Parts: sequence; structure tokens; C-alpha cells
Amino acid sequence: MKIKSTSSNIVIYLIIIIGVIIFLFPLYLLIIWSFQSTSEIFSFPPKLIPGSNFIENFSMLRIKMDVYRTILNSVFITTITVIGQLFFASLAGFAFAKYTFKGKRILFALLIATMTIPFQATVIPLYIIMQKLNLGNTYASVILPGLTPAFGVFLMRQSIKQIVHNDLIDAGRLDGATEFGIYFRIVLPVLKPTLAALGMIFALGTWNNFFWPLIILTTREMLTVTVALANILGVYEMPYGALMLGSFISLLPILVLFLFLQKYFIRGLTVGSFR
Amino acid sequence: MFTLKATNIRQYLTGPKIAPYVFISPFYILWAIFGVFPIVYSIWLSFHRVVGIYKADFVGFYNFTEVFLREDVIKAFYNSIWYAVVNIIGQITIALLVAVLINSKCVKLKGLFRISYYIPNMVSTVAAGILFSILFQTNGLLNMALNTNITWLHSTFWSKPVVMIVVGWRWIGYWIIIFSAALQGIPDFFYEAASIDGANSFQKFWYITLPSLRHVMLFAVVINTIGGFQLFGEPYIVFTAKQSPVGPLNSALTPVIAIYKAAFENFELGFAAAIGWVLAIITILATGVQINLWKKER
Repeated sequence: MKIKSTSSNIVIYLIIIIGVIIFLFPLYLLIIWSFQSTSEIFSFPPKLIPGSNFIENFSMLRIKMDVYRTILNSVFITTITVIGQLFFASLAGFAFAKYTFKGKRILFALLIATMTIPFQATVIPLYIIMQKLNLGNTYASVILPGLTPAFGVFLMRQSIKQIVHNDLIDAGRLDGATEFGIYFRIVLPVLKPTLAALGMIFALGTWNNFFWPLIILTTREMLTVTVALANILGVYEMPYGALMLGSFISLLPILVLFLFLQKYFIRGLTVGSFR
Repeated sequence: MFTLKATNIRQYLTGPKIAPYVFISPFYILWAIFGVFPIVYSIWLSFHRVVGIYKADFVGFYNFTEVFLREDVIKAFYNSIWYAVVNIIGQITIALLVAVLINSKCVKLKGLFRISYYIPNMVSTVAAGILFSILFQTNGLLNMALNTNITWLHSTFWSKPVVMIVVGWRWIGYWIIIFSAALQGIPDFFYEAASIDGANSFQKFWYITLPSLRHVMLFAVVINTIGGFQLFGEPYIVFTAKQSPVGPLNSALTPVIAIYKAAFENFELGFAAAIGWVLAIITILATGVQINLWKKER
């Protein structure tokens, strides 16, 4: 009996670890390939250590895309979008969680109903609207439609219901705080860990967003990193090493964020989920 | 007198009656302009043929009949069903298996394992797509490792599975995290009671674990259905779809890429909107059916 259970433990560990290797090995390839030339990437037998082509790859990448500018664009767009998402969603979520007002149910139901309509069905009108507002190819064109994620309000409402106690709000009112003061001085501080956790997930989504920026951003200096990378792809001989280096660079900010704020990251994934 | 009035108004505006409207209005104003108005506009568009940006002719259901007459669009919808089914079965099975193994009592370092599986989710679709398109080249590393000569990216048989591998690589770790959270919520005494009754591991999994995961499973099924129907980035990048077919004979084409091509390569805006609405209706129907079946089966 004892022997049987240790051997089954070994099998369990073995499966888990083989899985980990399968999942992390492509990432390892991404990193080493960004140091290799095309002939090294396709050499036989395969070269599984970093190569010496880093500088060539980087200068090639700088020819193909505006590396520094596109990273700044992504950082700027992500920062503004996430701050806006958290602010608007928590404010509306607070109203839905803690107040009774006329039209509350209908307004909330409307929000949930539109969640079923895919963004792709509305992307063409959005494109036309942006052109007519003269906002095509601007930061605003990327940021504005991203500011109002319906599920953000939904998650915020759930979290505020669970975390912020009514006594706290009543105490604030007794102390003469305005409703806005209650939001700023009571709700937001209590909500901080949730905001951090959701912020991570929103940041990841915005940073890696591809479909809409690809459509609305057109000039070299306005692109986000992901769109700039995708635009390098073409029918001609592709600079694989440079593409991998660009991919690696685009991953770094998120990876750093993750290493420092891992706890929030994992929590953010399961906010409002099923336990 | 005047100052008193002003404070009254301010108190009224910031009081509990009006405050909730003030709180929701920034969100709802933005959402009305960039979320709701495009939906209405898009319905209108799907019944029109747009000529330039300012002129549009009403064409009735012409755009919708076109959706069902064009071979590549039909193929895109067929592919999307394939993607959705494989997405559901593949991702959920693998993620559930790994999550259950990691959560078994004897395993240490649970957190580290979960995070290791999750890390690929942080790689963007674009980076992942480029990475795997190199890996799957005919003279690429995968064929070297397997000692095979499979034309992964140039075969109508392999094009969709390759896309699914890229999608799975990025998302299975996410589902492992989600399933793990749900597994941790199952009380230990459920399993202890079953042990006393003499249940084996498989029976415990079948009669305790699976039923306890009902809600999260429905969530996973619905999200993976939507994900499969609405694929864009992975096939677009892996097959460098700009100005070219998506996979050999469009075998990896998706409805969303069809929308993109119709609108921004061929400038058939009304037609593109119609594809979008057919996709929306199929998505809503499919997920609605799933939710209802799930509820009935209780």
C-alpha cells in the first residue's frame, strides 16, 4: 500500500513537471532565438543556447519598427486605459452596490445584455465614428472604447458588495462626509487590493490588445508594440531573430510587473469567481 | 442668502438621492457613445451598401444573403465551429487534469507549478503567433525534434490544429488557475466521508470533484465557445494573413478575419457588419443553449 502510493506520487509529479517543461520551453526558445540569426534558428542540430546575433537583431528591429516610441505608446495607452477603467468601473460599481435609485435594475440589465454582443460586430461603426470625430490614428481612438468594460462594473459591484460594509458607509455619513467623499475616503481605500488585482488583469489585456489598435492605428510612430511587431510580418524573407527580440522586449514590462506583483495578479484572475 | 442656496444645491447634488446618478454617468456617457451607439449603427450598416464614407444605399437583406453565398465566409463559420469544439474539449480536459494533479494532497510547491503553467498567458497573441510560426516551419525545430517532415503550415489538415496549439499554450494555464481556485473551495470532509464509504480516487473525482465544479465548468464552456468563435490574432499572425489566404485554401480563416478583410481590405463595410451580426447571433444562440442545458441537467 505504502509503495503503491509513493509510486503514484512519482507519476503525478512526473506528469506535472513534463507539462511545465512543455509550457515553458517555447518561452525559453523565444528568449534564446532573440539572440540568434536566422541560420542559427534553423540550424541542425538545433542550437539551444543564446547566439551572438543580438546587436544585429536589435539594429534590424529598429529598422523595421520604432522600438522606443512604440513601447512608450503601449505604456501610455495601457496606463491611461487601466486608470480610467478602474475609476469609471469602481464609481459605477459603487452606485450599483450601495444605492437604490430609479432605473437601477434596467440600467444594469442593459449593461449585462450588451456584454453578449461581440466587439467585432461593432468595430466597423466604431471605426467610422473615430474617422468622423477626426480621431483616427490617435491615442484617444485606442483609449476611449477601452474605458468602459461592462464586466468591470459587474466585478466591481460584486467586490464592493462583499468587501465594503454598510456600517462603514453609515459611519462616514454620520461624520458628515459627502457621498463623493465616502467613495474617495472610505470605498477606495478598502478596495485597494481589489483595484490592484483587477488593474493587473486589465493591464495585461490592454498591453496585449491587438484587433482594435491594428485597425485604428496606421502610422509608424503611433503603433503599439504588438501592432508594430505584427506589421513586420510579410511575404518576403522574415527577420526571425529580430522578430523574436521584439517579442521578448514586448514581454519584458509585463513580466517585470508580474514578478513584483504576483500575488495581486493571481488574485485578479479569480476576482468574483467561483469558490 | 445666495451662499446658503449654493450649499443647498451642492448638498442636494452630492446627497444620496442624486449621487448614484453622478457616479454612473461618466461610465454610461462614454459607454453610450463608444459601446451602445456602434451597436445600433452596426445594425443599420448591415442593411446598407456603403459607398465612400458619406453615402449609403439601402439593400435590404442583400448583405446577409451574401454571407451565406460566399464560399470563404461559409468556410470561416465552419472553421469557427471546429475551433469552438476543440477549444472547449482540449483546453478544459487538459487544464482540469493538470489542476486536479497539482491540487492532490501529496504535491508540494503547488503555487510554483500553477504559475509556471500560467506564464505563457502573459505572452501576447502576436508574440506567441510569431514564435510558433517559426517552431512549425517545415525546416523548424519541431520537425527536427520529432524527426519528421510534416508541412504544418502548408497543409489543410494541420492548419487548424496548429492554431489551437497556440491558443491552448496561452490559455490552458489561465484555466488551471481558475479550476484550482474552485478545487480549493471543495470542503475536505466531502472527500473524507467518501473515503470512509470506501470510494476510490476515480469515484471521488466523478461524484465529488466534477459536480462541485459545475458552475466554473459552465463558465469555462461558455468562454471557450466565445473564444473559439471569435478567434482573430492567432490565425492572423501564424499565417501572416495580411493580403493573403489564412492557411492553405483559407483552411484556418475565421469570421473575425473575414470581417477584417471585408471591411479594411475590400471596403465592403455593410457586408462586414452583416458577418459580424451573423457571428453575434450564432454566439448568443450557442452560449444560450449551453446555459439552458446546464441548468436542466441538474
